[in-house]
Amino acid sequence: MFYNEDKSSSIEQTMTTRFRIWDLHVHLTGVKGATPEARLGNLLSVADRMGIERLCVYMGMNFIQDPNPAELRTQNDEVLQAIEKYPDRAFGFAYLSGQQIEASLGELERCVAQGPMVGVKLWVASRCNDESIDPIIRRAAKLKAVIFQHTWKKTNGNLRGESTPGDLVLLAKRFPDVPLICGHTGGNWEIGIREIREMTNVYCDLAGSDPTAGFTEMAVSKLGVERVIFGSDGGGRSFASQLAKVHGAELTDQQKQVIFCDNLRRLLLPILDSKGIRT
Amino acid sequence: MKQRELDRRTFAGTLGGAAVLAMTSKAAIPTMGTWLDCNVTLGQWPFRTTPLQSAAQLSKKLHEQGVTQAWAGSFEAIFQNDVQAVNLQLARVCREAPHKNLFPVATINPSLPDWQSDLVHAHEQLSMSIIRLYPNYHSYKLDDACFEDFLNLAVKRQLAIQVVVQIEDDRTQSPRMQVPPVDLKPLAKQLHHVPTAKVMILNASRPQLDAIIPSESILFDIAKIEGICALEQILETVNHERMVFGSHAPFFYWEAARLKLQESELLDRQLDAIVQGNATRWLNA
Repeated sequence: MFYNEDKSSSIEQTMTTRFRIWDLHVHLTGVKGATPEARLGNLLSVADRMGIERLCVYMGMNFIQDPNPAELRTQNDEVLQAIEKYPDRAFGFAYLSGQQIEASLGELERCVAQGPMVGVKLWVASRCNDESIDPIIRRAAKLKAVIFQHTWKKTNGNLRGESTPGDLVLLAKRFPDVPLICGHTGGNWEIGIREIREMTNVYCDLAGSDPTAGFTEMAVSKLGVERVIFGSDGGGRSFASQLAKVHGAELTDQQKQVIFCDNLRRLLLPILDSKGIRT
Repeated sequence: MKQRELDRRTFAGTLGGAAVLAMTSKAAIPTMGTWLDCNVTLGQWPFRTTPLQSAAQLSKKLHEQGVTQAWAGSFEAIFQNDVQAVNLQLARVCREAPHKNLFPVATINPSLPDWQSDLVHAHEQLSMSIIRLYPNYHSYKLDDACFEDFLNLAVKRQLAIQVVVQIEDDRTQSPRMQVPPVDLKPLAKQLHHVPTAKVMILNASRPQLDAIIPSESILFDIAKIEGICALEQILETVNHERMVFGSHAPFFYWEAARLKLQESELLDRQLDAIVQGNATRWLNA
């Protein structure tokens, strides 16, 4: 027996919450929609229900782990197409690859220096401990782009080009004045938090792992609340389970607000100001 | 309309200041005092000290969220062979919980010798009517003879059965104790032989559910279901009477399951059924 009647519409939708929430980590995959802007529109509808004001979006409508230059451009074009329709709700990050240095530098110019994007996403094409990636980091830092590096440290083994938090620490030591975000905090967060602790320019992304209780509390305890940033990894993950990492944590409302928005906003403000984007 | 808005506000207040006061789903969230959480666990997880680890802490937290009944298993039962002693201790701890909202769920390990005595003890001495199984931690498969024997005895005694697919993501487990999730594929065939068995699946991910979706008598909880609006997407093809509220607290933040109900657009009757009706009907059938 299935129900197909209309959903109740008697309760108004509102995005008023007690917290201002920006989501660091959102993709155009795992959500319905024939076009990038349709998918972002659907994500934003759900974000409204969950009280999320802004989404940082990166990578295109299909995941490509080791993109060639043309694929990098297509991936970024899809994000540009999506965010163009929602300039007040979404920030774009350029998808770059340590395997495609020249193409990546070109995408940095096209999407960030000359375009509307405000950050950089590095995924699993190559590990960030390799110094060949340094020109990308150097140029992104010059542009004040927020730099996000995916990391995992899987018990059952990483992909060949998948960085660990330890790899990111090595990168952070080469660029001690550049803020770097440790995507997923290694997934195996109890290890990831320990690995990144020494480098105060490395930030903890809460996104994309199970909502295991204690994650956020440990991150705040070991790193300080100023280094912890909310992200969801939607649409592969639900907004719900990832929001719960902050809503459900044994922290003060003030600390939750810092994690939900203030830290990310602080990292973004230099490039937002340089582009004349007001938030 | 007024009742619906009142209900929503009452519910929002139960989040204890931690959640979103004015967040709304389109349907009315059921009122405080009607929630049944099918999936909580007491005790010490050996690899982590979870917040809300004590029964008193968990009972208080659930009470604050409006959960009047939570079916509680025991982490110790996963690792200890004297499960009878563990079940006895669990019954005592639940009885002493401050808000009387923890209902003990017995664990049985059918791979152990004389497991039948453990089952009789749990049923007759402790009045436990729900049995929780951990086939992966207890090293048997769902097409093993011991599981079939267990099913037959459970049905004979009209006991309800919860099968836990996994506790922790296998990517984050201790390297010295890697336990893959339970393979649910043999379950349908087993239930063909024992059609009156009452089976609920806990902690299955969306892909893992594919194996049991065709078996319409099997219920499943939402603790490990992920993806944007995942619940409403599942309900496009699956009867909502099979979905129950389970949080996997305190291993998971309880709010994760709660917020999934808000993220998906659900009808009033779907919400009512998921947060208490389906589990109650299943247990009393």
